[in-house]
Parts: sequence; C-alpha cells; structure tokens
Amino acid sequence: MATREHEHDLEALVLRLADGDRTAFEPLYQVLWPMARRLTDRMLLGAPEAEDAAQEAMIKVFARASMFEPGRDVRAWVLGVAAYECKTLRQRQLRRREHAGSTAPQVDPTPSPEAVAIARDLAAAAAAVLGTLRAADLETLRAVMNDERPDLPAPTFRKRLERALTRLRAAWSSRHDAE
Amino acid sequence: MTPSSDSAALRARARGAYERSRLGLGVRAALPVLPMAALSLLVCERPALTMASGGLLFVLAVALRARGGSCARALGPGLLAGSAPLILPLVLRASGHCCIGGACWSLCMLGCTLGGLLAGVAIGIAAAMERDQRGAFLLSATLVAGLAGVLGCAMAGASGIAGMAIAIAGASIPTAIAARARA
Repeated sequence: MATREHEHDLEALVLRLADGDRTAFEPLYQVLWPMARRLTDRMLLGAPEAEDAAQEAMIKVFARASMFEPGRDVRAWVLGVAAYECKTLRQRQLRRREHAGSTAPQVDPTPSPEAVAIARDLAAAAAAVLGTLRAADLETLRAVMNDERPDLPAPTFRKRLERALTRLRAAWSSRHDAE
Repeated sequence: MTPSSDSAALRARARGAYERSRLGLGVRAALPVLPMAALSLLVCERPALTMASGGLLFVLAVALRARGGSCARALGPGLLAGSAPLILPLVLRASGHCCIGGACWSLCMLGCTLGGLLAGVAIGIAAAMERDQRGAFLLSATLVAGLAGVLGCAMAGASGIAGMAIAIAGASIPTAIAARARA
C-alpha cells in the first residue's frame, strides 16, 4: 500500500516536471539519484565506473522527463535507463580493450578489497564448518585436497570420502542454509 | 572534487539537459509558424513587417512551450485561433474582393476584424476550459493569435492590425468570463 502510494507520488513528480513545473526537479532528483546509484553499483559490482553510469543515467532521465507519459512505471523507466548505461559502459570498455590489441579481457591481478573480504568470509565459514566434523572425516578430506592416497583399498576410501562429504554438506546446510 | 560539489555539478548537468530538451520541444512546437510566415511573405508583400512579427511569434512559441504549464497549453489554441485573422484577409484578397489602396480597402479591414473576433471567441472558450492559471493562458494565447494575425493583416496596414488586435482582446476576455460563468 505504502509502495503504491510512493509510486503514485513519484509519478506525480515526473508529470509535474514534464508539464514544466521546475519545483519538482529537486525532490525528483533526491529520489532518483540513490535509485540509479544502487542499481549501477549492483550491476557493475561496485566498480568506480558505476558512479559514471549513474550520472549518465540521471542526465538522460532528466533530458527525457518532458516526454514522460502518464501511466508509465517511473521506477522501471529509470532503472531501465540506468541498466542500459551499465551495458553501454561495459561494451565501451570491452571495445577499448579490443582496440588496445588484447582480445581477451584483462583481469586485474590484484584482487579488489571486496574480493578479499568475500574470500576471507568464505574461509572463515569453511573453517567453522570443518571444525564440526569428526577427525576421520577431516583426515579423508585432507587426503583428497592434497591428492594423497591413504593405505586403504580403493572402495573403502571411496565410501569414507562419500560419508565425509555427506556430513560436510549437512553441517554446511545446518549452519548457513537456515540464515 | 568534493562529494557536495560533485553532486551540485551533476544537478546542474541534469538541469541543463532538462532545459535543453524543453528548448528542443519549443522549437518543434514553433515549426508551424514557418509556413504561416512564408504565406504572409508571399501574399502580403510587406517583408519587414512579416519578418519581424514572424520572428517574434517563433521566439514566443519556443519560449511558451519551453516554459510549460498553461503557457505551453495556450500555444496550440493560440496558433489555431490566430489562423483566422491570418487566412481571412488573404482569402478576401485572393477572391478579388479586397484591393489594397482602393475602394475595397474596407473589406480587407473587415477580414482582419472578423478574423480577430473569431480568434478572440475561440481563445475565450479555450481559456474557460483551462483548469488553472487561466489568466496566463488567456494572455499567452492572445499574444500568439495576435502575432499570427499580424502576419495576415500586414497587407491591411496599421489600421487593419489595430482592428484585429482590438477584436481579439475585446472578444477573448468577455467570452472567457461568460463561458466560465456558464460552466
């Protein structure tokens, strides 16, 4: 209900601006800017170019505001423009790389702070789950990770590995899937 | 650049883009003025007056459409109403009933005045239908119709233009008041 009311207010603001009411510019800017910024941030995974894409989207939105027709979904329209800007930005970057002589996109060898944080969180979560397993299961998993073959018949080792993996999955699910 | 100045710069760019698009809409909306001025230029043989009034009408049309609101809504009815004092004197002249500088001179004047009256009534009715800012609508539409009328009444001279202008102003306000009272 509140969302529908909010949509209605948003449409009213755009329609006022489309009619030439300049007082609607500032409140509309304050609503649309964070919306465009959030979307471009998500689409470009927090890359510095996300702000550029959001800025371009805002300029296009305001340039087309006078042509806005009643009944259109303002949110969908603005997010559509922002998504298009992200796509254009990505294509431009790809073309620039290709133009520079490299066909494959170059990957930055230094991981981003976000990637480091994600890897750290994953390692901590894995360590916490592994800590709940029995010593025999841990030994079996460690052997597989290190590509070692313990002094056991192959079918026995396969059975142990299967059991260890089942327990690992169950432990992971009980700890993380419920969240 | 600090975040606040960055944000202010983006606001200014967004506002600039908005204003430019309004100007573009204004230019597009003012395009019908060009054939009107061309017709006047061809028929009235008063190039200076035609160019001046046509240029003024074009600029006014762009400004009104770019401004928006009731002023922008007045542009269409103003141009439509203004086509009466634009075409009527030209038709009278083409059908041979109006000879400039001769005895038929008054017929041309009649065309201007009659066209002005028709335009005034049409503007008055349109203004009465406007929900808000009726005064701005009436003034804008009257100015547009008046300038469009000058294009047609240029051949009738100053008296023809004056007759047309008085007729528009004299008919539009009472019609708007009467139409509003009836509604």
